[in-house]
Amino acid sequence: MFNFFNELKGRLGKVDSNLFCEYNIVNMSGRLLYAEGHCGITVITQTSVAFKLKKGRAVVEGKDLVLSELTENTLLLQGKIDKVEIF
Amino acid sequence: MFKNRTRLTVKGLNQERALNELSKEVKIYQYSRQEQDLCQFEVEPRHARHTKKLLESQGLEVLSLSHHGILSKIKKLLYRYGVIAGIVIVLLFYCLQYSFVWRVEVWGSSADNREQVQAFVKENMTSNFKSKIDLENLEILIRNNFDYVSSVSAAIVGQSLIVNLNEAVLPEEMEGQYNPIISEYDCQITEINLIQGTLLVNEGDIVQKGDVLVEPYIIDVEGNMRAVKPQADIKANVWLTGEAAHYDYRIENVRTGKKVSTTEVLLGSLVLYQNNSDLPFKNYESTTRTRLLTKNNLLPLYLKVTDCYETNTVEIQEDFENVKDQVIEQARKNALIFLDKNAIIEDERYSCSSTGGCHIVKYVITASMNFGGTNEDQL
Repeated sequence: MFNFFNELKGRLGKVDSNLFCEYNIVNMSGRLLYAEGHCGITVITQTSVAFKLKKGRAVVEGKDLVLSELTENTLLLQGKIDKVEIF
Repeated sequence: MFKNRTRLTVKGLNQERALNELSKEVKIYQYSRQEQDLCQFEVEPRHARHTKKLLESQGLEVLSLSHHGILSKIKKLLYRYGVIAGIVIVLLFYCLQYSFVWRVEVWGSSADNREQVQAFVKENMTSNFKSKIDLENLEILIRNNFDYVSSVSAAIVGQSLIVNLNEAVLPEEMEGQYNPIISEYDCQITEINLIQGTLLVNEGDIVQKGDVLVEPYIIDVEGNMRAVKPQADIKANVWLTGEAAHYDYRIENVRTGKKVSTTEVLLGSLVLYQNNSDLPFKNYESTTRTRLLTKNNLLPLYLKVTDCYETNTVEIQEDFENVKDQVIEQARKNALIFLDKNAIIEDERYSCSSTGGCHIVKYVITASMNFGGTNEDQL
């Protein structure tokens, strides 16, 4: 099956694939954020959403945040996204 | 609207933990947190029960659980037993009553006969159930029971049984109603040969116009009255009278031969054209004739012509004896007007009466008439 992230990785040539295996986060025009590879939500409010990563933590800040979809390792966040920080 | 989801409102602390646990098994949609301990989200309906169970095991309280989407609406509708029962009952009733005939209509007959046939059909319908109505048998029954029906067809249309009748035109004999033979003149019966019926007059009887001569019935040996068509050969002498008057002195208007005509063209009663000229006559007689100018029904155009004849008043002094034959002939002509073409003149008489210069001639013709044998050839 076609995978957008694998396609991108393939364009880099011979690179250690382990470097890209932790998470993928896509921010679409600051209105929609897609993340895969999360390890659980830690904070969820209307202004911030934080979730664990394999090695670290991600914090998304914004307004009127709504978790449109949530599965075991993917999430889709909708709202006005101001900032995405990875720790 | 078409997505089928179950929305849950959950209250409790440490919701993130519960959410993480839940997301391992169930896909979560539209999660929003209104307050620190209050959130709302959606799951697929098939996971609703499991979600609730899981949340409760995590120490959270599920405040509400509502289903959305078209499936849930249908489901909700289906769970409304009253509505379902109503629909089912209506459908059943409709299907059931559609199998019955509720109305009988009779066409092509007079109102009285219609009611009779309608009542008869209702009586003879063994069942109102469509499949149990034997239309062919019903047609035969109607034909056999009503003499005035020449042909009949029955059909079920919708929930009506329609009976279409053709009434037979019965001859007079079958109707059983006859008219008596009636005299239409003042006359004397000279000869009677009764064929059928009851005779009310004898030879030599003088009857008046309107008198019954032969009644349309007979009395049989058991004394019962039985209707028959009256028939008899009857000969009678009929008196036909005519009058003519003569005055020894009289004033008459005599045409001089001068004539003036006026013409009008009319549209209905509206005068379109008029050719009027002043009448030069002091005394005149006028006659009018009108004819249609067009031969279509669109415009009723008429031509009206009025002829005016000049007349002079003339005093005439004439002795009766000089014109007696002419006056008698005039009186005879007046009497002959009433003579039937099959009559035989038996006798002719006249009488004159004079008073103050006025002479009146009465002419009497005695004619023998042979009346036909049936009431169709009445006097």
